[in-house]
Amino acid sequence: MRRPAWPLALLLIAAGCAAGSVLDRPFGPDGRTIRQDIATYPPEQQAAFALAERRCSACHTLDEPFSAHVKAGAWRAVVRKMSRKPGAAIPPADQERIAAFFEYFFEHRAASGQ
Amino acid sequence: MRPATPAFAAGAASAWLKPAVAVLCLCAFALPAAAQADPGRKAKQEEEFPKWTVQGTLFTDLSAVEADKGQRSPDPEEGFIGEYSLGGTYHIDKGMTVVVRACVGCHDFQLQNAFVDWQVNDTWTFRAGRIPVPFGGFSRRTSPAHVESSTKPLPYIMGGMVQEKAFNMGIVPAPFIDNGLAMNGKFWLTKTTELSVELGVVRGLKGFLTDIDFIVTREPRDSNGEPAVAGRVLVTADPVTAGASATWGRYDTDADLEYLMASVELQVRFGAFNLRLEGVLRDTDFFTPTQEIDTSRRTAYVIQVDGPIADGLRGFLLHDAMKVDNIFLGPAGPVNVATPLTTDDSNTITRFAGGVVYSIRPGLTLKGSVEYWDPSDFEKAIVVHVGVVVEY
Repeated sequence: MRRPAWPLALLLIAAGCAAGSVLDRPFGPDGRTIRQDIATYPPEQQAAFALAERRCSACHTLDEPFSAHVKAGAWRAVVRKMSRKPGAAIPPADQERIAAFFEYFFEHRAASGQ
Repeated sequence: MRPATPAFAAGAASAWLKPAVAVLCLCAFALPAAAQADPGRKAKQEEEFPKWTVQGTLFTDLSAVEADKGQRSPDPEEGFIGEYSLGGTYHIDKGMTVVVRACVGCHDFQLQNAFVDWQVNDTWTFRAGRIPVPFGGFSRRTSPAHVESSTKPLPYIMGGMVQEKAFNMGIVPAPFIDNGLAMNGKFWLTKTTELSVELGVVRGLKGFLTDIDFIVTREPRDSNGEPAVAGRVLVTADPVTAGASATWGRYDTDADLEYLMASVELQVRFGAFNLRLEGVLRDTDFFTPTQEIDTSRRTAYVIQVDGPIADGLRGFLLHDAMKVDNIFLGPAGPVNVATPLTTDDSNTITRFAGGVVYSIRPGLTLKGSVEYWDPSDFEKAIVVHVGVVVEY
C-alpha cells in the first residue's frame, strides 16, 4: 500500500518555521541581524532603508535586494529599471536615495568582511 | 512607371505614420524639457556605462496529492516540478536597457524576455521585443521568488492545478509574454499619487476551434497575421494600488474567433501585510457543430492576504475560484459538444490555500503550502507543496 507523502511535507514545513527571514536572522561574524546592523548606520541611511522597505515591498520582499549580487556602482541602474515598472511609484529623488542606501550597505558589508 | 499604391494601403500607412511622427516629436521635445526640469541633474555623480547585471532564479517544488484514489484523475501530477531562469540586463546608458531572460520550466527552453527598454524621460518608456504583455495584477509578480504560493493564482495557473487538462488551465498565460511593442507612461497626479498607463500591440494568443492553446501560444511565430492590443491603467496612492486592464485579439489561424480578457485589481497594504484582490474575465469565441460562432466565458477571482506572522516568518492565505460557462469540459479539454465523457456546460473550481515562506540565508528561500481544491464536477483534492527558491 502506498503511503501518502503529505505528512512528511507538513513535517518539513513545520521544521522550516524555526527559521526567519533574511533581515531578522543573525548575519555576519558578530551575530547581529541586518536590521540591527542598519540601526547603527547614519540617520539618512536608516531613513533610506525605511524608504526602500516601503517602496520596494509592494512587488517583492526586501530579501531579494539583500540577496542580490549587484556590482558596486550599479544600484542606480537597477533601481531605475525597477522603478519603470507600472505601479512601482518611486519618484526619481527616492530612486537615488534607495540606490545610495544599497551601495552603502554592500560597501559596508564588504568592508567588514561579511 | 511606378505602380499605383492601393488606396487602402496608403490610408493604412498614413494612419500609422502620423502618430509615429507625433510620438517622435514629443520625445525630441521631452528630453531637453526633462533636463531643464531637473537643474540638479548635471551636478549628480555621473554613472559609468555600459554595465551588466545578472539575475537567476531556480525553483523546485515537491507536491503530494491526497484524493480518492479510485476516482482520481492523473491531474495534477505528483512529484517534482522545476522552474529555472537566468537572465541579464545590459544597461547601455541611463535611459536604455536590454533585458534577456531564458527559462526552462514545465516545458522546454523558452526565451522568457528579450526586449529593449528606452526611457525617454521620467514619464515615458518604450519597449520592443519579446515583452511582458501589459495585462493583469499578477504580471509583476510571476517570479517564484515574488509569489508566496508554490502555484500561481487560478486565473494565471499553468501547472499544478487540479483537473488542469479538463479546464485547460486558467484564463491568462503566466508569464504572459509575447512579441510586440509597448509604451508606459507614469504621471504624478499629486506628490504621492501616481497614474501609470501601459499600451501594447502584440502578436496575440493562439489556439484552435474551441479554446486558447497555451502550448501553441508559446511558439514565437504568429498564426493569423493579426495583432492583438492590450492596455493597463494603474493608480498607486500608497498604501493602495488599483487598476484595470484589457486585451483583445483573434486566436485561430483564419482570424474568425475573438478573445477578450479584462481584469480589475486592488492591492492594499496594512503595514507589512498585503491584501491582494483581482477579478479576471475572458470571453472566447468558438465554432458550434453547426459552424456558428458562440462564446464561452471564464470568470475568476483571487483574494490573498500575506505578511509576517512571527519572528520574520511570512505567511499567506489564498482563496480563488474560477467559473467556466457555455462550453463542455472533457478529458482532453473544453469541447463544443456534450458526450458521455464531458461535464455539463457550467463548471466551477474553488481553492483555499495557506502556507509559509522563509529565508534560510540570503538567496535561499523555502516555501510550504497546503491547498484544498473543490471542483464542481470532479473529485476534491488536497495538495501539499514544499519548494525551494534559489536566487542570484
